[in-house]
Amino acid sequence: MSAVLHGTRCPACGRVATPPEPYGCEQCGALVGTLEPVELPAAGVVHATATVHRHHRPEPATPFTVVEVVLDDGPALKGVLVAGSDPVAIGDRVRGELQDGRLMLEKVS
Amino acid sequence: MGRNPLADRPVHVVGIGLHRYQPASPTPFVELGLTAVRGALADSGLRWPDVEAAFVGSALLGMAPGRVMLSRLGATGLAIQQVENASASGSTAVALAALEVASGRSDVVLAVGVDKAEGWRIAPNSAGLGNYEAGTVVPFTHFALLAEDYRQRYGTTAEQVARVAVKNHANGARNPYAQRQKVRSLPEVLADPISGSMTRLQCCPVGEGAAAVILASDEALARFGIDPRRAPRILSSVTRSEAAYPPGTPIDATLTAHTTKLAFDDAGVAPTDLDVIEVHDAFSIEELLYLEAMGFCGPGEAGPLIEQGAFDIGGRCAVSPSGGLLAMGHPLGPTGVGQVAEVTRQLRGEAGDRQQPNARLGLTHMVGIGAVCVVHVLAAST
Repeated sequence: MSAVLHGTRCPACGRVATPPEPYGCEQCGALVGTLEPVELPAAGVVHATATVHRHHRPEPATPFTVVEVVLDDGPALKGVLVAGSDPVAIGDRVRGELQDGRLMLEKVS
Repeated sequence: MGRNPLADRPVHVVGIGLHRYQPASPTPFVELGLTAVRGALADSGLRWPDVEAAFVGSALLGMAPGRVMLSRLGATGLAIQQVENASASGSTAVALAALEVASGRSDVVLAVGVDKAEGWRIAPNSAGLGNYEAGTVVPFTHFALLAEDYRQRYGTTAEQVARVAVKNHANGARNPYAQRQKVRSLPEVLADPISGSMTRLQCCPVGEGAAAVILASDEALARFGIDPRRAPRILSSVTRSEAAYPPGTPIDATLTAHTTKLAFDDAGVAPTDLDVIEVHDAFSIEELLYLEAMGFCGPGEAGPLIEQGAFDIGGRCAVSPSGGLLAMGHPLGPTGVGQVAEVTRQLRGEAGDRQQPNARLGLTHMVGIGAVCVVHVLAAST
């Protein structure tokens, strides 16, 4: 499992955003037309995890684990650990892909 | 930031009133709000026609709740403005009311927060900004992630974090306006996991209620014969929003650090001078994060300190003596106004069995979706 995420990089200040920034750079205000498209590998290091026991929707079924990952290329994102992945802890490497718009992550062993 | 307007023309809290925070009920918001405003008027000794302007904080009521509610005190034609700033709506109503007095435009101004937990519409969700969470990350998981990061960093135990809720439920049990008024043991607080180490009793209840404060100038104190010992002064009022922090930065704590620093500088006080703090403890971990962010103690020190009772009523500094958001509750609009009411009660020495001994200096702190942060520093008058 591996995928790239589409994003934007601001040539003026270097800020990287994913999903692509649609309005203007959040760091320096550069116009959206000046932002450069980038592809970010969906891989990085676990910043924190939380196993969710109560959820307001039937899907995903509980319990599921939310993982906050800092991508190797910068941005911090939240995704969900795929069923069947080895458990992850802070500092572990994970990689992911998008499924129905959701970042699904698994441990890199 | 420019000069602190509250330094030029002193602003005092002269009246406080509340409607108990409670689960959703059929009670109209008008009845909730009027209960709080009438309470604040009675507490101040002022009459409704003395009030020159009103700021009405609510996040969920929709357009124009202010005049229809306040007109039932007698439609005097006073200035009425609606204030929405997410969880900080009430705090922002207080901030604008304080500026109204400090500017010299008015001498007696009402800030009232009132809300009903219904009809949620959250603009950032329809802003056209995507994410990869697809609805899996709600606030309790946001803070569960922060809790794990914090605990790993400093070796703080789940029990130490849960102590925040044990303390605040005990405080709420002594507050007749609190939604939750039951003492809870550590095992009770640790039961019933919601997300990560956050359990049901470490998450705040969102219900309904109302809180009101009346602010006044020195001239009004003299004109109406108000006892200055019952009129704590608002030393500073600061509002900030989230800046473009580097990836992985704990947003809420960093925003809190920046906002409280400005508020302490404006007030000319240090965090360690505080006797009482009402903090945005929507989730237990937040209290520890924010006490450290505001410089009350060093990084990683809040866990051991709460275990030692440093933040109990009677401890080094009473934190959330009202019960905080965890026990008093978080009905959105009222919450920030209720914090100012509690700190006022403490600084007057009128908090009864919740009284922090010799409380002279207090702080209120709210964070709202955005993120935004609003902080007030208050001092006893004599």
